[in-house]
Amino acid sequence: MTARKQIRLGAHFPGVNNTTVWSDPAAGSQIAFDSFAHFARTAERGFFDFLFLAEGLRLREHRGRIHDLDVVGRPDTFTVLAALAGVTGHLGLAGTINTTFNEPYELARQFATLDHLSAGRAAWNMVTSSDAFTGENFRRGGFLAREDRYTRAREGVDVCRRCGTAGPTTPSSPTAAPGCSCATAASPTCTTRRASSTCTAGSRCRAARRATRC
Amino acid sequence: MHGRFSVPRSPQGHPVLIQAGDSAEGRDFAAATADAIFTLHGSYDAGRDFYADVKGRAVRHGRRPEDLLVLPGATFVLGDTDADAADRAVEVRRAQVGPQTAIAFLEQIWGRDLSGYDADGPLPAIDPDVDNVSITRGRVRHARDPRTVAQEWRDLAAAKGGLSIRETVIEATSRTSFIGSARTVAAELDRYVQGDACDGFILIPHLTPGGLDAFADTVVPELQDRGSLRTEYTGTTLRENLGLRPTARPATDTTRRTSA
Amino acid sequence: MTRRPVHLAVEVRGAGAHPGAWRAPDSAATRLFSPAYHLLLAQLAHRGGLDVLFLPDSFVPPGDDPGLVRGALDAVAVAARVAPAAPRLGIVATATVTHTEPFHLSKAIATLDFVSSGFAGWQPDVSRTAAEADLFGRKAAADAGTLWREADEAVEVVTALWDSWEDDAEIRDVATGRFVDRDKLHPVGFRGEFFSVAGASITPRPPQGHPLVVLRADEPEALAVAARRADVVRISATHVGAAVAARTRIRDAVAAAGRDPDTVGVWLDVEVLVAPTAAQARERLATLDGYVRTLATVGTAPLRFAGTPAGLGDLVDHAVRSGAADGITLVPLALPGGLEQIVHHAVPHLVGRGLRPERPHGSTLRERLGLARPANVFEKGGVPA
Repeated sequence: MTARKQIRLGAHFPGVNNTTVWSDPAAGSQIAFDSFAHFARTAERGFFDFLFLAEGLRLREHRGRIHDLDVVGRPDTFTVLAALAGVTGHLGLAGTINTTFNEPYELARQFATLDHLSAGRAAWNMVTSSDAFTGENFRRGGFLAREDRYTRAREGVDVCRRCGTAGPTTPSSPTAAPGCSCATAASPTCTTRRASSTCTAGSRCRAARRATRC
Repeated sequence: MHGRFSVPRSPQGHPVLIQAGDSAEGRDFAAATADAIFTLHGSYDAGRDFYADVKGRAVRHGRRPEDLLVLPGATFVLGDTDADAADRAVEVRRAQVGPQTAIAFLEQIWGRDLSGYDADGPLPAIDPDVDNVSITRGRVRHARDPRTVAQEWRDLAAAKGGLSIRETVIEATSRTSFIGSARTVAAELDRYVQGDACDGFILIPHLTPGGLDAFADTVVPELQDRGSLRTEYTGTTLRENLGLRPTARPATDTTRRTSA
Repeated sequence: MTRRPVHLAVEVRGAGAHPGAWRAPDSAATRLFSPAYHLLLAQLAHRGGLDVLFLPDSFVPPGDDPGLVRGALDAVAVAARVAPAAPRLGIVATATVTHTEPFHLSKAIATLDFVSSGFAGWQPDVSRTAAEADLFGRKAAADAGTLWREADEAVEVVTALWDSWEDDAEIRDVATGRFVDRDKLHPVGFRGEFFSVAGASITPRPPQGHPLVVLRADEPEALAVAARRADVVRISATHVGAAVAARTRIRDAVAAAGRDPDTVGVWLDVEVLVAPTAAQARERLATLDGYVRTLATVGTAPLRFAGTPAGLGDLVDHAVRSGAADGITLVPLALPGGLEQIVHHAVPHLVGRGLRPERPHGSTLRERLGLARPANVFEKGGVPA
């Protein structure tokens, strides 16, 4: 007999559109960390797989002015997820991050950091944008043509995956012998050019690891 | 770009990758690359079609169907009884679409300043201004012809016996929502999953921060009783808890493990 | 007589500031990237009643020297991870501005301020090397003058974004259906030499208004930026006399920038190894030195102290009395043991001498340091940056 299919559950933190009811007396802060901590703890109590954070990088406008009828204001995704790693123990932490307005190397490092700090609970909801309005908040400016969005998205994911599996390794134990090398083994070199990525774990890497056993 | 990475391999190697986007291009990207797809396909039948489509795409990319999870976004309203929940759902919808919000929705379609209209009155007789497409900025816009949408809304208002602007917006912008007692909602969520309309849900409560409390207290035990939800976390990483395969280690690490 | 207590911070670097620290048997070399290690350090700093925990960071990729600890986690994320477990500990993370968007930095530091309930700070820095530029592939490495002009703009934009929400912008007015008063949300409309940012932040104004801004002024190009924008200026000096000169130079620059020098603290770095006896401290330092084949020094050698808690107290007292510093940043040579010694022995000694308060006060980091909550440049009467 096959096992019953298990339901996967994500908990979407209430967002900044009209789905979120703020006029209810029970509605609390959309930005205080206590709100995020409460929501995350509830999701973990309910055995959810992950908490999910949306993101928008420019305040919405309606008829040329900031839309004022819905909840406005949210935190930085990586920062609040890193903090939530400290108040939960099992819950996945999924952040929406835009590949158009973030640099691949930086994303790779931030996700790798979050994965370390949460002991393996990081998730990335990858979105792209062709929105010049949002682009005005960034020095990259402008935006990408629709066909380029996914090219850049692929590069972003690629860099994240290659870097994520290719960092330096930590030593298995401190070693007191002076001159014995390899506090942490050398990480391989990653190269990415437009729409093509290569990641080579070079001979230097293996040489350094041999040296660990000196 | 070029250089060495400064963070050691993390527990999952790389994060679980979720892809949001229902376009054909987005589906294909997800099928080739993602661990989960966040979709808006709500109904049971549309869900089954979508599920079959993206799982098929994953297989064509050389992956197993279970390597890609299909997770639609879903809202819910709970009550002590199904009738109680239905009453609450009406209240929630009215709170989500207040008079000003109803007018703002209308202005998005009509492309005009409609602030002079009464949300409890009928839809405007005037037609949409099709040239004013940038009335709303900073959110996803749907690319449909506003005249078509306006006509659909008028038809909807008429068919339901003359809905007001606010009532029309409430009806027209409703998405799939699971409404009922905890037992009813648990059964319905489970029906979607066991019937391959999806692998689970990304639930979107309407209240911060307590919107998940009742679900955790009442629906979760029902799902557990049905044998469809864990009673403890068994994996050490998110990837393991989701039943996904571990990420490959680079070749050098394999070398190291075998030679050490 | 009551003396003005000295501000006391600690900066934690990897396994310790000493290049050989990771080789010590009691080092945390195998768990430098685990959350538990960072929690341990933050909770020690918290227990010691320190004002600030500095978390350094850079994009510099791992070098070729296999005898050094390589790699580091993103400092802002580490700060956020430990903040809930260390309430009322100031946490200041370094985040570089050369390759990172000010819009992202602004909301990240603001969020850290929310997460720490008003105890966050930011130490902006620049990325100097071609190796860092190559990781981004967008622009070449630049000279110090250009880098710090860009940094000056970055801090200005980040600060403007913090101010882009007035404190009372959120109104939740059910009668009119308005969640915010949009007249209190301000697009920053910034156009400079390096950046242009159009809109308001997506994150409300943080609890402190502006999280603490800390800058180093060791480079001449950085001094002008620090004089204009820093709440705390960090210095490194080889001896107390040099620190006195540096502090004077900084206070003059702050005054020349039109600010009151008494509102800008100058904090001196001291690398430190504390032990119960001076002989034990010397022995421990010799052991660390013995782990390293050649002790290369990069740039100015900072003040280093290896001795007893009383000896450290003498140094701190001397530095403050002679006008070398308003605060001291202790940089443990070896972790986590070096921080344990500071917290369990050195701090109580400083408290006993009246150099530290028994119970640090303040409901935010700015209050702790005696700094006012900054006015909002966009509020009525204010002039946009």
